[in-house]
This record gives sequence, C-alpha cells and structure tokens, in this order.
Amino acid sequence: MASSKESLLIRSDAGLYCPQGDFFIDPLKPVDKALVTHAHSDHARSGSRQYLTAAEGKHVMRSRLGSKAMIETIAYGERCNIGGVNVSFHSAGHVLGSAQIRLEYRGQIWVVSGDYKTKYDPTCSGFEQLQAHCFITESTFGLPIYRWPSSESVASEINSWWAENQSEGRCSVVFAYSFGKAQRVMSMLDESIGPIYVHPAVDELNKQYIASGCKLPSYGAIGEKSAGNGALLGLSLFPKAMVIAPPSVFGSDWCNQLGDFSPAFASGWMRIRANRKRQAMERGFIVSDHADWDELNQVIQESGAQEIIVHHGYVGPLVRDLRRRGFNASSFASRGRDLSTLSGKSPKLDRERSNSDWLQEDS
Amino acid sequence: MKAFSELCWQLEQSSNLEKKKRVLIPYFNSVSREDAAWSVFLICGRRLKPSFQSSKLKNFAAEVSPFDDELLHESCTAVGDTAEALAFLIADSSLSEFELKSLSDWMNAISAALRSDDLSKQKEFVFSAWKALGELERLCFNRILLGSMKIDLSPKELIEILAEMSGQSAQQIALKLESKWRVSEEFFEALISSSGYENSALSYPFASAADRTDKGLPEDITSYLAEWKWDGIRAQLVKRRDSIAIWSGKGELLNERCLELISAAEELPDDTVLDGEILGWKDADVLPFADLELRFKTRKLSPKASAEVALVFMAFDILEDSGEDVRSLPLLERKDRLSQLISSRRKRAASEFEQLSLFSPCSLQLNPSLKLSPVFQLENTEQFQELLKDAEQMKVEGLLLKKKDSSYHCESELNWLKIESPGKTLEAVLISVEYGSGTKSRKIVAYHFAVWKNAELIRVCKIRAEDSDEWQDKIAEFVKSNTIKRFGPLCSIKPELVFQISSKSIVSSELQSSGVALRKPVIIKLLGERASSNS
Ligand SMILES: [Zn+2]
Ligand SMILES: [Zn+2]
Repeated sequence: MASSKESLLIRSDAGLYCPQGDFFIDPLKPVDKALVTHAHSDHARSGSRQYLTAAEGKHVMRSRLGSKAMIETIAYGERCNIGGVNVSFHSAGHVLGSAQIRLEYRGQIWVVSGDYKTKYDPTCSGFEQLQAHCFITESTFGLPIYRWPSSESVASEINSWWAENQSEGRCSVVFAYSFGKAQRVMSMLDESIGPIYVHPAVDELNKQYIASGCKLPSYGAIGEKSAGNGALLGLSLFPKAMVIAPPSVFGSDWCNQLGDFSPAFASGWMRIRANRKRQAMERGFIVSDHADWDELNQVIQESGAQEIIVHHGYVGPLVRDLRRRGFNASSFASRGRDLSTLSGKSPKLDRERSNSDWLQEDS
Repeated sequence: MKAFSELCWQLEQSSNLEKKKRVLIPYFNSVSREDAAWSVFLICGRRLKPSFQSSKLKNFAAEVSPFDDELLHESCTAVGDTAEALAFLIADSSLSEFELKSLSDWMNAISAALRSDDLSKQKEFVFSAWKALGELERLCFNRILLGSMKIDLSPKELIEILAEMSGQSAQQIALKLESKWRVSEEFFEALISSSGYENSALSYPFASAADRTDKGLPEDITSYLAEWKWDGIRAQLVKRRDSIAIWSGKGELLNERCLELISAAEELPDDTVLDGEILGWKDADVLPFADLELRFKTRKLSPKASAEVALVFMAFDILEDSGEDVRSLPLLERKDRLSQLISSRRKRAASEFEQLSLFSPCSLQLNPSLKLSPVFQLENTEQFQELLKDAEQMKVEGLLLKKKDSSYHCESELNWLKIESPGKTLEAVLISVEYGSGTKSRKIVAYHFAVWKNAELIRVCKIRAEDSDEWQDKIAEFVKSNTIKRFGPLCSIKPELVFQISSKSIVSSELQSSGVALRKPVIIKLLGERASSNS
C-alpha cells in the first residue's frame, strides 16, 4: 500500500508538491521552485521564482512566462538532483516541449505524466514509455467513448472539406488552440490544395515551433486589418485558402474580414455529436493532443506501476475501472490523509474539478 | 444499412440544402425502391413499433461490454444519447458475416425482433448485429431500435429535394407523403412519378391585401365589404373525394397538426376549396396568436395541447364550389355561396340532430370547427371607425375591406385592403440577448424582454434585432459590463435597461407564463437605465 511508503508527491492548494525535494510540479500559485510539464496555460503559470522545464519547450515556455522569468531547461532523459530527489524530464508527446516528470528517491520511482498522447505527431517528440512504482496520469478523456480515429483519416477529412469549400469559392477556417493543436492541424494539411493562412496568435506560436526546429508547411499571417473593406461587400477574399485561428476569435471582426467562410472546430470533444452541434460550426474534426481511453490504459499497463493516481479530468470513472481490473488506483482526493505527513504547512485540498470545466479546457 | 448510415453521416456534414441535395439524390438513385421507401420512412420521423426502452438496450450492452454498469452509465451521460454511446462502447469486430445487407432486410429483421416476445432471441439478434456492423451503422441500428432516429434533414427539405428530383411541385410531394402509405417499392415509385395526380388537393394561389393602415380609407367605402382581420394562420382548405388538405399561405401542408379541422372538412361536399384563417379557440372565444403558435410548435399533437387550444377554421372565401372554379365570380356572390355551404351543412346536421335526439339526445353535436367569418356592409366611414374600435374587443388585428364586385385574384392587391388597429405600448426591461450562430456568433440577433409583476420578472416577448436599431451599440456596451450568465446563444444580463415597446395587441392568456400574449411587438425607444424596480 502507498500509505505504508513515503509519498513523493502530495496535492496541496498550490498544486502537486514534493516534500522531499521541496518543489512543486505545475503549481497553481506562485512558489519558490516550479517544475513545469509543458507551456499550456493550465500547467505553466507565471509568478514563481524559479522554473525548470524540458529544453525542447524553452521557446514556448519563454513566451508563456515572459522575458523576466527565471527558466532553466534540461534535455529529455538527463538527470538532475533537487534536494536529494533525482529528477528527469521525458517526452510526453502532447505538444512541443511537453514532458513527463520522473522522480526517484530512495529507490522509489514516481512519474507524473502531465498531459500526454502516444499517437504520432510530427510537431513534437514522441511519447516515451517509462516504468514507475507510482504513475500519476492525466485522464482528460478518461471514458471509453473517447477513442480517436487515425490521424490519416482525420487529415483526409480536413483536406477534402478544404477542397470542397474551395470549389464553392469559400474560405475554410479551422478553429484550434494556438499552441499545439494549430500546428498539429497544419501538419495534416495538403499544401498542394491552396494557400494556408493563420491568425497572428497562431503565427506567434508557429515562430517558436520553427525556432525549435519543427517543420511546418509554408503559410501567411492575416493581420487585424489586412483584408480591407472587400469583406463588407460579402466577397470572399480568401476563396481558396485554409485559415487556422484560435477558437476565441470566432465571430470577431478579425473573422468577419475573411468574408464568406466555412467554420470548423478541431478538438477531441468533437467525438460527441451533441458537442459538434453546440459549436455552431459547420464541421467538427476529432483532433486531440490527449491520450484516448485505449492509450491511457495501455500506458498505465506498460508503466508497470503498482500504484496509479488519476489526476486530471474524468478521475472517478478511470479510478474505478482500474480498481475493478485489480490496479491499486486512487485520486489525490481519496489520498487526502497523506497531507498529515506534511508538518508545519497545512495546505487545503482543492476540490475535484467539476464536470463542466472540462469542456472548456482541452490543453 | 451501410449505404443508409453513410447517408446519415453525409447529411450531418452538409451545412446547406444544396449540399444535402448532392448527397440525397444520388443515394435515392443508387438504392432499391424499397430501401428508398424505408429511408423516406425514417427521414419523416416514423418509427417501428414497439421500440426498445433505452434501459433494455443498456442492459444488453452490459452483457457484452468489457465495462461495468457504472462506466456504461457514465459514458451514456457524457454523450447524452444512449444510442450513440452504445455505438461507441461496443468494440468494432466486423468479423461475423451477417446475411442481412440492404436497409429493407434490416428494417424487416429489426421489426420482427422488436415484436418478438422471446427475450433471448431479441438479445441474440442485437448481439450478432452489433458484431456485424461498423460504428456508424451501429449508431443507426441502435436509433432504429430505440425509435430515436435523428437525421439532419427536415421533412420540408426532403419534400423540396424529392420535388426537384422528380419534377413535381413541393405541394404534390407533401400531399403524397401526407396520404396513408406503407413502405413498399410501389410507394416510392408513386412518390417520384409525376403522373396520376391531376386532380390532387393542391391549393390555389392566395389572394392578399394591401396595407392601408396609415394611408386613410378609400373614398367609395360603400363599394366595399368589411370583415375582421383575424389573427391566426391563413390557410386554404381543400376537400376532394379521397383527400383533404389544409395549406398554409406559405405552401406548407398543415394536416398533421389540424386533425379536428380535417374531420370537420369531411362533411363538406367533394371538390370544395375554402380560404380562411385557422384560429385557436376556447370557450366560444378566440385565443391570442401566441397560444395558437404554442400548439403548432410541436409536430405531434398531445391531447393536452388540443384540449387547451381547439382549432377553428374561420372561412371567409370560397374558391371552388362542388367542382366549379368560382374565383372569377364577384365577391358578393362568393360570399353567398360560402354562407349557403356552411349554413346548409349546419342545417343538415341540425335536422339529423332532431331525428336522432329522440333516441340519444347527446349523440350528435354540431361540428363547431368550421365557422363563417361575419361580413359588414358599410354606409359611411363613421361605421368603419366604430367597427375598428370593436376590433380590439374581438381580439382581431383590424379590418379588411374587400371590393364587392372583385374576383379572387392574387395579383390585384387593391381589391383587398387591410387596416390594422392602433397598437398598445408598455414598458419592459431587457433581460437577455441572443447571439446568432455560425459566422454571426458574436452578433446579437434578438432581445428578450420581461415585465415586473409582484416583484418578479416575467418574460413577455422576444424581438429580433435589426441592423438599423439605434440602441444596438448601447445594448452591446451594456451587455459587456452587465452579463450575468451565458448559456449557449443566450446571455442573461442585469435587468436594468428599460424600453418602451409597442404591440399590435396585448391579450391575456392562460397558456403564456406571463399571463399576457403580445402580438408583433416592436421596440419604440430606450427609456433608460433603471435599477431593479417595478415597471
Ligand atoms: Zn492540461
Ligand atoms: Zn496541455
């Protein structure tokens, strides 16, 4: 049982904390030492004194945390010692620079997955399967209804939709999160169909990707007012183009300047019909940078871990199903008693995330 | 089944009618007539009976699924659709070859399984089907079993596409779909063949009235007849020997939602066409339009709705009288024929009543659903003004003036004039704004208003936003800093912006939660910001 051994990580109100090494992983609040799995906003928050992150993500992490942040980087697989704990970062295959964090202390190995996926993605390093005594896994899509179609089939769906819009003289716009999802969608595009444009926010991230050595198809950026007034006349100014933009600009002036376009949303949530309908977009493409149900289970199985802690997303269902199959699985909430080991500090438990949060978050 | 599930998927991806056309027409041309007929059956929202309860299908799934009941249940909840969730949860195997191939084969087999009282046979059928089918097909299969088939094609779109495909009018297709039919090759053949429907129950073009509300009365008012401008749904009622049709002014077939009018029309002589207004009716009085709308909103009519809102066909013109086209006769003569028709029908019914009453006094009632709209002869404009005052009490929109010697003609609008009663105004507070969809998702498309009643806000109406609205910017700015909650396209805001609203009529209504029904409300002006208080 885990409680008989020392926990290398506990959950406090500032996030996952390692008492042995006195550092936090993906802290929710400003702390002294922050180890950050990747540069998505729900994992990398500014304000901490000192950051450690994987070298592959240094450009994106810098643009997320600002020029003043003190960021140290470490290559995937390289080890360092923090307060007696042996720490290393390993590729998580989620987005550029994403890492699982491996902790080793007195023979105990704990791995925090961060966000991850195992499917092929040319815009970041592939997932590395680790072995651990305790594996802390995300579970954003931890229900068996979430099973992703192959990248090839989604890519051909997107490209044929693009070609179809083009034949009607309409611009195609895929709304995808600027960091990770946008680049992944770009990597699926068939450049021979037509020109590719992006929103300035995507362009910003693309530059970091290119600086980090990632290959993207050639593209142009559309600024706030580059299209002029033609759109007001109902003309489609980019009738042959594919445009990638963050979902937040859907319906904005920036979008309106594109003239007539067909909107689509790229997300794992598009697996569910009701979600597709709710988006008020013409199409929904199933593109996720998280593990689906099968990937989660495979990674958990192959981690060889005796103990699994489910941390992020659909926690309850995965914990229960793992237990049913004989795993020693739990959530941090059900391990609340571990906090008593943390003397002097009395961090409060933050509540399990409620169901409705998940729909907004896909990062 | 494969072709049909592929069709459903393609329709789901098609954002407009043009695209749906490009998917559906090749489908109909490539499948057998019988499969096409079954597809029409499913698109029209018909279902096999009886259907499975979703709990039954869940229990079946629990037996073959590697997941426990709770996980199945959580998955169904997350998807919000049992048929879809179960289609996802059953693993793809496609190993076993099923002898069933076409949609017709499947529908017949499903129908037999649904009617079977042998649970283990049902189970065996469902399990082997799940094994044989791919995910999209499983979704259709589950939905057919549960009677919850959803297809992204409305009956109206189907009618339009079939009309184009077969070179018939949309009205002809609508009539054929409305008639009693069973799925068969012959049915689909007849549906797309343009012959054999010469004497069908189509409507005539509708005559319309020119608006004279703000232009004053015509000079020779004595050459006109006046009648109420009823506030309902304009319709033509067509009675043929073997079919009855009720058409809205927009060319929509309303039969399904007007069953009591259909049975009332059965008493009419064959080949009769009447023009009139469908009204909601209760306790010998007309109901506000909003109540009628409530009843028409639901496709299938519940007994409760028909008890709350009875329907009346208020006839005001006759276009065909026992097979004779009377549209070119003068209005006065048509009015005579119409009143004879309706009162003779009454008389006949009444005399039958007298005979029957000896035996069973209560067995026969006059059919109250077919009424004659009263007509007024005017001597001078003062009489007209008197009538217009009564209009409000009558709960009508105003008056129509129709030239006594005019024929029924859809082109010459000047034969019919309408004069609406002056509207009423009230103060209402803006409680929420509604955003559009697609490319309009950042644009406010409608406003929702409420009034204070006993310290409680009660929603009274929704008004479409116009680009010319001068208060648009003010509202947009107010919304930015006073949003309470956004739910889908609806954004509720602090109830502080007060407007003056004008409405054609404000009528009390038991069916509306506010207790009043507003007719064609428009915003007059922004009165200002007021902290929550009574208005
Ligand atoms: Zn995340
Ligand atoms: Zn992430």
